[in-house]
Amino acid sequence: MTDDSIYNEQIDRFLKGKMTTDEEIRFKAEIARNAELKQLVRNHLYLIRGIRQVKTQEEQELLKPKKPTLVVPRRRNWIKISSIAAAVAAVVILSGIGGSNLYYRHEVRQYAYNTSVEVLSDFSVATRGAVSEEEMNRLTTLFTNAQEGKDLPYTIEELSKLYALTKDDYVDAEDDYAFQIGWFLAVAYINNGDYNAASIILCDMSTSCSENESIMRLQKRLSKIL
Amino acid sequence: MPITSKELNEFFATNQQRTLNYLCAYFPALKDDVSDIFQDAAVALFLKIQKNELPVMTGSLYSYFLSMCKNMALNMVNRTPSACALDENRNDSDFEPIQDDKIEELESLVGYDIADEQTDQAYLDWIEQEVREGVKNMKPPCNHILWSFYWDGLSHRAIADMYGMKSEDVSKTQANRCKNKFSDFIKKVIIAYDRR
Repeated sequence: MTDDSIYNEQIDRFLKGKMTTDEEIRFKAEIARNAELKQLVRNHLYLIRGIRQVKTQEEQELLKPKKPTLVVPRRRNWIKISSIAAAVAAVVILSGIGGSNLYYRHEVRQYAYNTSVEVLSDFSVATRGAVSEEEMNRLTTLFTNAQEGKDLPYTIEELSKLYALTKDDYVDAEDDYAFQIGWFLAVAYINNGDYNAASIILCDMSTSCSENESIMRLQKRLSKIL
Repeated sequence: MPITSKELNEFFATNQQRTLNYLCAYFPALKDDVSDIFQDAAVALFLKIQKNELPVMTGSLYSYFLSMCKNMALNMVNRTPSACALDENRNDSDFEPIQDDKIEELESLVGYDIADEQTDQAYLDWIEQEVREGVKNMKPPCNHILWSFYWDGLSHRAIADMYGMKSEDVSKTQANRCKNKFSDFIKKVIIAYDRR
């Protein structure tokens, strides 16, 4: 440990009130006689004062009263909240999610994206050699597009057709990866902003993929938006 | 009048990962629930602000929010005692705020003038302005560590958990490096002032 790091630690312990009275007395005496330590203490004080000024300003900005400009999506109908506080309060109470809707949508998308990484990885392993390379590539492209929100109209259309096939008792070719098809169809809907449709698919899947943890967790997050 | 949610959402988005990391480390048995705890605390904070029910802050807004998350997690642990509860090696000293009276003591000991002959207000204003810019422009991990330590009043242990460091010693070592950089920065600021 260098002198500086020892001094740094002592300064912090003093500032956080973790020194004993004896230690404090010795420390103050050391500051009085040691110019290097004195300078280090000054630098700490500059730093703390600077951080306090910057962060206080940030928080004041954050908490400063402003007219609400939030746009809250509800079932795909965009409702612009008026500037009347009562209306905001009503939305908060009625929806139970209030202005954090934006946050929840972010959370849903993030969870969907992260879990999709695992689902896609499992799919690659499970189907290796079980389907043709062409079919594998087609599905992987659709799944990846769903995950990343690319080419969504086409992706949703194709995944919907495949999902319908998984429901057909006479066609079992897609049954082996029915979960992945359903999952990515729901994710595509989420990325397309159609949370209702995503929820319907997940509900439907939860009967066929009962007790699946990922579905339940995604459904739970979606329920906070709907 | 409520604040816009956009700003609060930014606050939550900025602080989400470190909060989840911290809660996972502090409440290992609740690792599947920390996202829900975070969301519930976010809504609770939002409503408090909406209703103007925030208490007078003695620390940062984030440290207040983190306390809300911790309380909710503790409630959950208490409701499910079989859930092996807390990491037993933890104590509750993760909040260690800088004490104002200690700052004042040090200020009276060393003063704010870098060189004793330079005490004029313009000089101090210059330093403060430069330091503010320096603080704003701090890059990770220095901003994460120093802001968390000095503003949120968190321990190095908590910071290590939040930012995925192996131990509190890593956070301490990194903090020392950052402080050394800051000392160099102060030297440059003083030189720049002298050259004006």
